[in-house]
Amino acid sequence: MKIFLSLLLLTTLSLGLASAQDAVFKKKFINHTEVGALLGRVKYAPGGSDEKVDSKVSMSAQTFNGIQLSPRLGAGVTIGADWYKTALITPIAAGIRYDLPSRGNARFFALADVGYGFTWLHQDSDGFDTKGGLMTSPGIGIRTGKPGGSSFTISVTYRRQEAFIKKPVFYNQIERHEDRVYNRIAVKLGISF
Amino acid sequence: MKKFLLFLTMILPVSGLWSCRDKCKETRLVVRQIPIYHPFSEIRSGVGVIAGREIQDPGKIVVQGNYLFVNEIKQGVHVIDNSDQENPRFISFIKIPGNGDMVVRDNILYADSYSDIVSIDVRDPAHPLEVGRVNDVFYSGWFNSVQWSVVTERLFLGEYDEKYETEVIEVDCEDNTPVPTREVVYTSPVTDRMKAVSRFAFKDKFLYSIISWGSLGVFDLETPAKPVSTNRKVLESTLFSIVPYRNKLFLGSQNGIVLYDNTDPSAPQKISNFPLGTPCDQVTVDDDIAYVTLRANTFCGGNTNKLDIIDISDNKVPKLIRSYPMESPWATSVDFPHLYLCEGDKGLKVFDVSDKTEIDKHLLLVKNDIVAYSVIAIGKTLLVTGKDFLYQLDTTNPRDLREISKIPVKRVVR
Repeated sequence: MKIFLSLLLLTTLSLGLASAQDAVFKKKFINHTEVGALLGRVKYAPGGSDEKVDSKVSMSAQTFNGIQLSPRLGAGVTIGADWYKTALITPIAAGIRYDLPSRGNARFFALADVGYGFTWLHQDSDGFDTKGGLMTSPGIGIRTGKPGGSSFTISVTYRRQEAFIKKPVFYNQIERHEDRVYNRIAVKLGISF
Repeated sequence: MKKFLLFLTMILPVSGLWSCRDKCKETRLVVRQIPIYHPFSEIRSGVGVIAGREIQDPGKIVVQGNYLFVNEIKQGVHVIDNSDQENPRFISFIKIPGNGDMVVRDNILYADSYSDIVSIDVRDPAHPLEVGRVNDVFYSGWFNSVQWSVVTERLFLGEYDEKYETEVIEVDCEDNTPVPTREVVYTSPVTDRMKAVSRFAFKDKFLYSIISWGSLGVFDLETPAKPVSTNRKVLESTLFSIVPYRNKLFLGSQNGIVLYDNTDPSAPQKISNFPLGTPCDQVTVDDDIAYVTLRANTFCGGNTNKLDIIDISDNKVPKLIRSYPMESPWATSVDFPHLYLCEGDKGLKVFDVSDKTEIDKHLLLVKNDIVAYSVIAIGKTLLVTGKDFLYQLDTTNPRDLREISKIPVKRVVR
């Protein structure tokens, strides 16, 4: 994870340096706050019997705060909260927002957040111990509003969140744990300035 | 057009993600228990005699002349020479696998050995000899909370080999149900051997035994070494103990005491059934009076500690004379007019029971310097099974029981 984050930082910095040569452009603070749903499903075999498929919806909110490094690229830190049914995860991630070449007031942008989901706010049932894990969330969005000003956003991202859960054992077990990977589509509405 | 293509290139990969699935794998390290089976031959060749040794977890005691036969739960029978009561001597230990009960008749000791009844000639107590065996009488039983049973021509003694396995299964990613706390497992009835629960009894040349939980077997002892199964009575409820008295059999069952007429010992006939609380009741019968003790907090449940005195002169309508609260009554023995009552950790009590309606006013002694679980009164000697010792007490003066001797006892269970 460290290597990945360092690479991301290097890329961001190099992009920033490259854009710094642009005389007209001026760096500024940017914020992108979103609220939405994490949609997914799960396929499993309860008790080793026939497979069952369930749909899942969880709520998610996050705020990205950073610096507009170039006319197109912004980099910063994303903090959020994801209310999965049995885990409340607080991801802290490095994030980028990149405006794709487009004209007019509705413009596409790419976004990506990579970080670690913590369980500071989570409370476990008796005997359970939930630990967070890596979080990655790349995607695209569309924003409406004047370039350089405030805008509304709709984004669709893929969100992968890992978690590790130590569970209480039954009478014939010595150890029981779960490696959990949430694979979700996040659909979010937000504002950006 | 260019814009549309751009939109498409972005939307297509994202649309593929709509089939996103949470993937959760639960890993469990599981202990698999593989039952161990013993062939009958292994158990049947296990009877043997070794030099006398210390008693461990004593069960039923049978007194035969100058000898004491003391069952060691699941292991066998100790033979003790008691001709000098002050210095009882261990003569031999008869190894009988799966032994929990026995009777002695005409120098033959009949003992259960898991599924079988073994006949052992004890004429020479130093050299007992197996002289006969009835195979496949019992099908299951309990020792110290562990059940044994006959499983397809083999014996399963509640033993397992343990195998560790890791299993991985897919789960629903939402499990947070706490594991229920383990249920309390109560000890089984036959385990409670600190009381002399009896599954064997005999009358004339017939041996009775509780065969399975609900039936009484009758064996003909015409040839003493080789009991022959002649009759079987199936009862409606689970049987726990047999108390023979005069021409009657008192069968302790789940639904109280079932009374059988035994005038024809080959075919006991049911007379009546009187409910007396729980199967944990201990019954001692003397001169048409049944002394029934009921203890709280056993596997039978209940929270009453009492002694009931019941008039059984009318076989069909037993009459409760009076009920007396007790502390923790385990067992009783009567040598009229004295009643000896074991109170477990609270010691041993001696009552004068001449007046059945006021025995609480005739408490002669509370001997609380011993722990008493079971008691047998024989003449002027009292045999009391305690926690660490098997006591012999002199009852000449019931207000002051003199200790004649004590045989050390080791407790492995409990």
